Formats: sequence, structure tokens, C-alpha cells
Amino acid sequence: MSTLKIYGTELNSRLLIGSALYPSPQVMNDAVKASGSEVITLSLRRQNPSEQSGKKIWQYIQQMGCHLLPNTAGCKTSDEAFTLAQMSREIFNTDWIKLEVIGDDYNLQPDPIELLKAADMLIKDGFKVLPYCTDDLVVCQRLYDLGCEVIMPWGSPIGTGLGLMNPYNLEAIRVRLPQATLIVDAGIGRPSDACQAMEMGYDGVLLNSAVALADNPVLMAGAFARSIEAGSQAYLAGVMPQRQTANPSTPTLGTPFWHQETNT
Amino acid sequence: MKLTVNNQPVDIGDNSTSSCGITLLCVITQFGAGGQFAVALNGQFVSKQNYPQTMVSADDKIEILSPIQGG
Repeated sequence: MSTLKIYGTELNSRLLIGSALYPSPQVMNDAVKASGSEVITLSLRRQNPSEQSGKKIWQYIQQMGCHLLPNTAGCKTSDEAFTLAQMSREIFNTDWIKLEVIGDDYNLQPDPIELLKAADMLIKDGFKVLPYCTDDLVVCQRLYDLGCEVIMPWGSPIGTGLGLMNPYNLEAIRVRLPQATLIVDAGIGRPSDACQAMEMGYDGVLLNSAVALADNPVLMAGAFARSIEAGSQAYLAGVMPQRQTANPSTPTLGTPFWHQETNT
Repeated sequence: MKLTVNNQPVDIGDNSTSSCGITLLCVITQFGAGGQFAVALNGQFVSKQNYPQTMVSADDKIEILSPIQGG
């Protein structure tokens, strides 16, 4: 099985999974295990000393032994994202950062201007940046030029489950950035969405809601693991070209009950 | 001294004040921060080793953040 490389770290699973929205910490734990993912995303929020629920989640996540991928969710400026990334680096002891800089509250669309600024600041400060961005080819190119080895265009807005809204855009990014590690992040709803991304040649998929909000998150996590593996193998195998006309797959020579038309 | 900690107004009492002012460490202790956390002062990250020598001033804004689940 081929491996996913994130800034030199080789991973056996091409699924990166979020830690939010599960019915309970135990379900989260079981779902992450069922997914086979080796990377889990998490975040930072204001501490309330009288509220201890966050501690339990953190204990579960620590016990999983996954690589931690902290995000900058909620940040709207490059300065906010930069500070939050620095705080995450201290707490989680990792220089990986899932960079999110939101430009619009309605669809949680990344702000490409602030995103590029933040990526530049963070790379200069030694971070390994995994930017969450739209499926805009030029923005992805600029992020790659800055030094982002991993780029994470959205499939569709966060939490919508709408799947890949613009397959053409995503394919163009794949074709134009063959050296980049590309991960579809956000909007995945069904295992078939993840499989589609992998069939395009994407290197991985990052998702959260699609598993956490399923009726049975543990079962769904396994379904995603297999769909991603299937899509990845399909890409490597090479999908047949589409044709507009039918072609029989069974040989026609010797077809029974076939009568050649004759002129009488 | 009036400060804002995690978006809440906080009044740091006289017993936290040394002859040379109030440190960030005093504020964090008075807040009761525990477990894993990181701190920003007026939007700038302050590393743990700098808490004791970082001085705070009136109206400073302090963020004390801890891990939570995220996507």
C-alpha cells in the first residue's frame, strides 16, 4: 500500500480525521480507531477553570497516539492565525498547523489574502503549514510557491456534506501541482465523495462531520477508510476512458441465434 | 488593576502586586488556569518561560487557551 507523506512524515492511512461533534468521547475514540487515521485535528479555545469537560477529550486524544494537527479555526486575520498557531505549537509540541483564516461567516469561506499572508508568516517562523483553502488554482499555486508542501482545497463549505462541488477545479489543481501533496478538506458527506477525490489523484482526505454526524460514526469511519483506499487504488490502476457509444464486452463472434440478413 | 482575561473583566487585587508591578504569572495564577494552556497578551503569544518576567498593564487583554476537539 502506498503511503501519504506530510512534510516527510510517512503515514499508512490517507484519511485525516477531526475530533469534534461526536456523541461522546468514547465514540470519538472508537471512530478514529475504525478509520485507521493516524492524524487527528484539534483546536484551542478559552479556558474556563470551572469547566473540566475539555480535559477528558484531551486525555482521549493523547491516548490515541495519533499525530496531532492543530487548527486555527475561528481566525479571521493573519495576525490572529499566527498567534493561535504559536500557542498551539507550545501546547501540542508540533510544528504542523492546519491554517484556517475565514473570510465569510455565511459559508466559512477562507480569505485568500489573509491566508497567503498567514502562510508566509508561519513558514518564516518554522511552521509546516497545511492551509485550508478554496478550490482556486491560483491561490493553491501561490501557497505552494510560498513553501506549503501540503495544500488542502475544500470540496464544499465546512459541514455541508455537499461533496465535491467543483470537480473540474479540483482536477485542475491536481494537474497543475503534480508535486504538491493535495488533500481535500471540508464538505465531504459520503464515502463516495472521498473515493471521487482519491480517483482524481488526491493524496488524502480530511473530514470530520461526515463521520461524527453519521447515525453510527464507528461504522461510517470504517466505510470511509475503505472508500479512500479504493479510490487510491483506482487512481493507481488507471481508470478506463469514457466512451459515448456502447461497446459489447462479450465477444460477438459465434453469437448464437444470430442470423445474417440475406437478400432473397 | 483592571484587565480582561478571556473576554471577562478581571480586577487584580493588591496582594498580587509586587514592588515592581504585576506579572503575567500572577494573573494566570489568580485566574486559576490549570492543565494544558497557552497564553497571549494583547494578541501576542507569550511562551511559558516568559510568564514570570512579563509585566501586565491596566486594560491589557489576556487570552488563556486550552485544547478542545476540532475539525
